[in-house]
Amino acid sequence: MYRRNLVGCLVWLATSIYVCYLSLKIGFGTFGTPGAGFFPFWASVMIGVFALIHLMHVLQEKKRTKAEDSSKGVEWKKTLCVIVSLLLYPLLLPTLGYLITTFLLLGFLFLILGEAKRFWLKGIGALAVTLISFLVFYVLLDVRLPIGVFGF
Amino acid sequence: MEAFHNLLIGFSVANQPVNLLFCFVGVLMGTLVGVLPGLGPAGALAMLLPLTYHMPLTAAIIMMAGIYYGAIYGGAITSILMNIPGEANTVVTCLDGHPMAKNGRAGPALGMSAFAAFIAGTFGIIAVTVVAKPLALFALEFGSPEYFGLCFLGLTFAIYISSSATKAFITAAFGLILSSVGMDTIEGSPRFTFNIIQLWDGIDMVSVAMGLFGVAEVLEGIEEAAMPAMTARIQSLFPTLSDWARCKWAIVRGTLVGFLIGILPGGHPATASFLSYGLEKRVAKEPERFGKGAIEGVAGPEAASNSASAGGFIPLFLLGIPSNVVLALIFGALMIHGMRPGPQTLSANPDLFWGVLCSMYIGNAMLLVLNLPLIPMWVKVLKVPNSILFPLILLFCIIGAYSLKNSAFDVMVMMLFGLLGYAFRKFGYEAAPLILAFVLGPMVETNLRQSLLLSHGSPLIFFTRPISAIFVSLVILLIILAIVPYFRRSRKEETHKEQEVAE
Repeated sequence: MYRRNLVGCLVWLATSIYVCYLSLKIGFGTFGTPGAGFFPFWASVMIGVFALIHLMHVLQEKKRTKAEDSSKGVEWKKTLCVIVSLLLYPLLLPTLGYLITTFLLLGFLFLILGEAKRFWLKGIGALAVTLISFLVFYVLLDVRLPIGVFGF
Repeated sequence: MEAFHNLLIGFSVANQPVNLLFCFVGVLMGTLVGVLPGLGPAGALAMLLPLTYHMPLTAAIIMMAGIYYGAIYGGAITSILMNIPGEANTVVTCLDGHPMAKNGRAGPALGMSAFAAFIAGTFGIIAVTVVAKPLALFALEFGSPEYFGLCFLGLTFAIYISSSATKAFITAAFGLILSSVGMDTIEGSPRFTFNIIQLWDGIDMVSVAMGLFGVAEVLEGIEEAAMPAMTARIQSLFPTLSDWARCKWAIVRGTLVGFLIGILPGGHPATASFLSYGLEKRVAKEPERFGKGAIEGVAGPEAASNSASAGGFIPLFLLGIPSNVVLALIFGALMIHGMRPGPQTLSANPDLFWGVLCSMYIGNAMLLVLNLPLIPMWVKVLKVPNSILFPLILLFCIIGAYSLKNSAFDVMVMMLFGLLGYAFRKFGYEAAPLILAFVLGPMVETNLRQSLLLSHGSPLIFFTRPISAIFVSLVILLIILAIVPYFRRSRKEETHKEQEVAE
């Protein structure tokens, strides 16, 4: 956890500096007439201060415990695949439309999260859920789900 | 007499068929959400927020309130039967509830949990009835400095009770920055939009909440092993007379503790449940029974968390300050409907306030009457595999995010916040302070800037007005209390090292 805490502190410090810079660029104003950047500036200072406090604590903890990170055996590949699919989904949604994109996403998720068998059943399941959700939300509840370039 | 009249108004609103229906839907969904470890009422409310656009305001809030306290009850089911806390406030219920189940007393544990929640919920509503008017009158004295102080105190207190206060301060400050994305309401200039036109309206709270709680939960759940099987057998659900004799004062104490915690800005049912458990163990004649199946260890905390959930509606409706992330989402729903809660709520929207309050009483009765017989059904729900549940949760989140503005951009925002929420969990940060700060941010900023304009730039305005001075002093005290342990620990280690060198 030491390494993660260290990385976290450094990321927050960098965020604090960057937001401070942007806030001053937007316009700090004065204490009497605070500008648009006044509030985010002080919020980013707060991030910086607490990140520094936490950094000091993390460095002290390292001296005390000399513990190294031991990542448990997590399924990084599976999680990474799901993350990529989730980020691709909104990019493809306007082009392919709700039905195709959702079917692809659900089919992929059912496959990757479940056991590696009965692919046809998972495909049918993905199709069924997609169609039912379309019926419920688009037809019955009038939620304007996107129609893609193929017209459906 | 006025309180009685208000309750009559409330029950007449709550008993309308549409409100009764949404109350039932809320408690049912809340129990379902509570039974499923991980999803949480925050995630459920985040997913349902877009649907509330199409509902009458009172019905929407009644349903959301039902989900809130329904989840508290549902969480107790998995705590008792499987030693897996469904919600944060049912962690303590595991300590004695599950040993009771292992001893063949799952039924009385579940039954006492429901009865304690019902009794506490009833008291909570009566107490709110008594306290509401005086508090609303008191809140009318508030100006910008007082509101700034109170908002910041609520935020600070919620941060202080987090597992790591410094990390929580960081995420809260980040939430304040995120809340300022978009057009500045005072100067009308864009902030942090990076030339993305969709950001001129700011970041939508629903996308943030669904990402941080729904999507992040799924991403983390992908890594976890399968759930342990439920082996406890359930026989009679009714506690015995000796159980009642043991629990009667535990319920009273839990109810009082819970209510007092709940009405504080920043108060959370989880805090109330922990305090109640500690109190019961301290006052017990045989404290060694705790942890081995003491029924008071179930009754007290359940009463406390339910009472706290009722009490939390006071700062929400009468001060406009949500005490925790779930109430922040309910606050968001109120804002979506164009309603700004505050001291004027009692006079301007009595139907809403008293209707929601009385619906909570009806909802508690529904939980008692309906959910106890439905326990076998909830147990079956636990057996739905994650490979089916997670994609369905994601689908619901996607539709919810898209339906906000019919824009794939909001879906992308949700996914990015899902990634952020997942990173938070990996790095040991909590998302709740971020969403609380995100919701309170505009109020904090507006009141801060208005206060400084009033005082021509002097921050002493926060100390010269008595109420504001109390709030801001408490904020400073809480920050100091959060930071001091870090330095004290460092000094102890240095002293210890010096002693070692000397030896």
